[in-house]
Amino acid sequence: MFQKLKAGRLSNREVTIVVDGVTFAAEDGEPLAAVLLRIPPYSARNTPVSGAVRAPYCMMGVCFDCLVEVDGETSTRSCLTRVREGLSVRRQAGRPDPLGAGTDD
Amino acid sequence: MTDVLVIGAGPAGMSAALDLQQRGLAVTVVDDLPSPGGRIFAAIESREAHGGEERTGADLAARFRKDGGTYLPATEVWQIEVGPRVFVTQSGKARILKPRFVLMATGAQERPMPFPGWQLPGVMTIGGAQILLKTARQIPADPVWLAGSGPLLLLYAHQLISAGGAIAGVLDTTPTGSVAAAAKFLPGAVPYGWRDLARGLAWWVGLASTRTIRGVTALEAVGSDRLESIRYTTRSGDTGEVPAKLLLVHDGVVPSLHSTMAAGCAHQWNDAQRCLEPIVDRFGRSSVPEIFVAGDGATIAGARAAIVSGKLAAIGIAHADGKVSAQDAEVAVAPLRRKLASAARFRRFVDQAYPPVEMAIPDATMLCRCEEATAGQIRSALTGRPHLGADGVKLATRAGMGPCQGRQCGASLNRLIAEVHGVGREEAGFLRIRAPLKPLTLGELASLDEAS
Amino acid sequence: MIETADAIVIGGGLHGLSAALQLARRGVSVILAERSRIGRHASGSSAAGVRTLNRGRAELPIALRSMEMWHDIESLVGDNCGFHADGQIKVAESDAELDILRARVDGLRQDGFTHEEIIDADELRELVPALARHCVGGLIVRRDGAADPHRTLPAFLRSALAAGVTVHEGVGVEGLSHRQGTWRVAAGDRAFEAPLLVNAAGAWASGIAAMAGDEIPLETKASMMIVTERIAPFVRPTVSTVGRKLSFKQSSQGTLLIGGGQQARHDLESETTEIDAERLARQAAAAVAMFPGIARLRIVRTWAGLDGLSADHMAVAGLSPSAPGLMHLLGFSGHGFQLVPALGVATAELLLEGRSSVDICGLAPQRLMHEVSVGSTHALANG
Repeated sequence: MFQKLKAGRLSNREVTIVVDGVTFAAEDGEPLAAVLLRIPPYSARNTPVSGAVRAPYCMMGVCFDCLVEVDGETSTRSCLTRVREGLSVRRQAGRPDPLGAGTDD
Repeated sequence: MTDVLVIGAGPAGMSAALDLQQRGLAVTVVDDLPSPGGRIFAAIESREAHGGEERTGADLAARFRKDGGTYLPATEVWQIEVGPRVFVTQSGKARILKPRFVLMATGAQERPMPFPGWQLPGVMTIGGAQILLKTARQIPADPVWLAGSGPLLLLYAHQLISAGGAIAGVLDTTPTGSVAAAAKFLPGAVPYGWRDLARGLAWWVGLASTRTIRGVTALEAVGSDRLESIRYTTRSGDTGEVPAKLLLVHDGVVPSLHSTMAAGCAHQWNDAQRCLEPIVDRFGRSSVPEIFVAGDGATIAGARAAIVSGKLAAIGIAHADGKVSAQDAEVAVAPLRRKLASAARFRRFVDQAYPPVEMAIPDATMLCRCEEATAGQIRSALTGRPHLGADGVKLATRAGMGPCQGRQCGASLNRLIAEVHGVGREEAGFLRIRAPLKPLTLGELASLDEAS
Repeated sequence: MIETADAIVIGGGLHGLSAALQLARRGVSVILAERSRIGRHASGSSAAGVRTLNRGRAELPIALRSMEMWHDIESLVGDNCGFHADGQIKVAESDAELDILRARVDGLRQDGFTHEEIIDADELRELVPALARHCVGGLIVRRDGAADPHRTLPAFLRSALAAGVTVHEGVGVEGLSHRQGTWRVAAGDRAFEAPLLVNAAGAWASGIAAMAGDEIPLETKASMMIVTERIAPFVRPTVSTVGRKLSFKQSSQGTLLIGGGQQARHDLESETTEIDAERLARQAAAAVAMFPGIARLRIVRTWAGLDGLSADHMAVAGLSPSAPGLMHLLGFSGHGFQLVPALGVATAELLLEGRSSVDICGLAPQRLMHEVSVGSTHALANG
């Protein structure tokens, strides 16, 4: 849905992060939501109400649609999360499940 | 020991912090982002500054780093109690800060622009796309549709084209004749905003060859689990549908109210900007004596005005603290007030040229994105219950109960209450804002108990 | 213009609605006057625990009757109100605490009450797998449970309206007088008259009582509630503890509702509460101590309602000992929700027939009042 500009990098450091078990390259310090908008399926979660798919919307922390699991912490706003080396991300499917692992379906 | 807690490290907060420190007050600044600049100057330290305003922002951030007091980034305020006692979380731990004064510089957010399908992946705000450009250097991969009205739409269109992106078309919701109606405010706007006006004109001209559908009165984002097409209706009754993968929307900006509301500050309705604002005196002091408000969080006036507003509030706090006499304070703020008055005259032109549109909200619209409550359900709950306000309709429909706690639906609830009950927007009221202002975890909250 | 009826109910919370409903179904014309909106305060802030567990002795007969009604709530108000009977459990974290619970059960058994049982650590683990491992046992009522407050209120309102109750919102009572068998209720430029009156004015009910000449001292209970984001199924029974201020349940939407009695700051005059963050932290700490898996779950909101708190923390329900045709329903001390169905019936019975089919003598207002008219026929008529 979005792509990086060829010119003008934010930082010189490329890092790797893992999203749903798949490794991706990203820029150190960029918002995690930006990465989610670059990689299919360009979404963040399924809602805990109806299961509908949602993606980042406001990029500033006021819509709460960009929620993902980051390093085991569920319902984290990816627009306010900065990428760093080794970040482990799972798209949030429905409701977090403290009795299981991560979210349920 | 902190004298003043500044909430927000955007232009108003940074400017106030520098001024307060200079006047000998100990300042602590908290902000939820990891680096200074707020939203408008997001990531300003890590990117190239484009244009005079951004260079001002970069310079301000550099000075703030050096002389702005104690800076606590990635720190979120979740409760403000009488005292003031301000509760924050930082790195998973909750703390209490006990300043003598609080300056709220929490800025603005985009006016929610609900329409059927606005919750689909593929629909975003123009402000969000701009943040992506600034903080991640990325643009839409395909030609993008823009919908709405306002200077930010023009600005982003210009930035996108300059960056090599493409616009499929613009669905312009600006009411016809509004720019002409604004003409009489143009002379008053020129002193403060002639650069903005010139740039705005250039951006507007730059869009001349872009496919623009004017007088749009209704929008619908169509798709099963992501945006596939956009349906629109115009004032003249024309309808159309265009295929689209990405739609960026905008209907102006409004003050972010949650902090001032949670702190118990009184608010009033600004009819020209169709939004609520905290009530502040000539020094930026709110109805709560220890709380001052500056920047777009007080009233929408832009980044340059926010810098001035921060200085004004700093003088107000210094005077309230007895550090500056009333006479000296009046002398110091006089030029600042003149500047803000000039900014307000520019604002008046912008508000007339690009009035808030507030498109009609069909019943099928998912007014509350979090709890997935529709406008129809809300209207139905309000009908025949004239004493049911925002909090009552929340209990009946769950609208406003979700994680965003009314940030995306509060203004729309206010509209529907006014519509169904036939009352003014101020009378229609707003949701009661409660702790936590940020969604802290149970463990973070519990950590406050451990600390004590 | 004076609006007349057979009965006036002051207060549009659940107790007012329930009383109005039962009166109306017995052929009585009822006007209900609510100062703000239906369910504005305690009823709209309720955690909606439906429990007989751990109630004061005087509340037990009416609570047990009410529980039967909850198990058939759909035939009462046309909606199941989200009621589910997954049990209520009071957890002991030590043998000493378990001994306290055992002593309670023994005392109840001696008086013929068998609804509460002791369960051991194994059964506790089976019923509440998410509970912290150190818990040694508990006190359970298996037929207790919880409901959805936001379904219960509309259901009682709809039923009351369907039964013919006239509901006025935005009508705040400012004065009462009684003359020749008729109550006159003044509210702004409106007035209402009826021979029968119900005081269900919640945290403000002692003010209403005083207008009628009854001094029933009430303090205010402003218990704070925490609600989390929606999560996968986590706990079925409603859980409380012996040693902590904690009440813990999961709603039908999947949110966790954490209460327990930590008090917010409050102001009755302005009808407002202010969350006390340090006390709230204790509430969260208690929840995390009992359910370790929840530490990383996000809090979406907190709130606090306003309820009347009686001196002995038990409900006040009974006819006025001094003023004829007046029923007091107040002082529910944060646990009135479960009593709603049966107290509505008791109200109608007492006002219309002079006696209630369930003994609520122990809840009579006189127990808290300093001055009671000697030889009052109404004192004798209570239950």
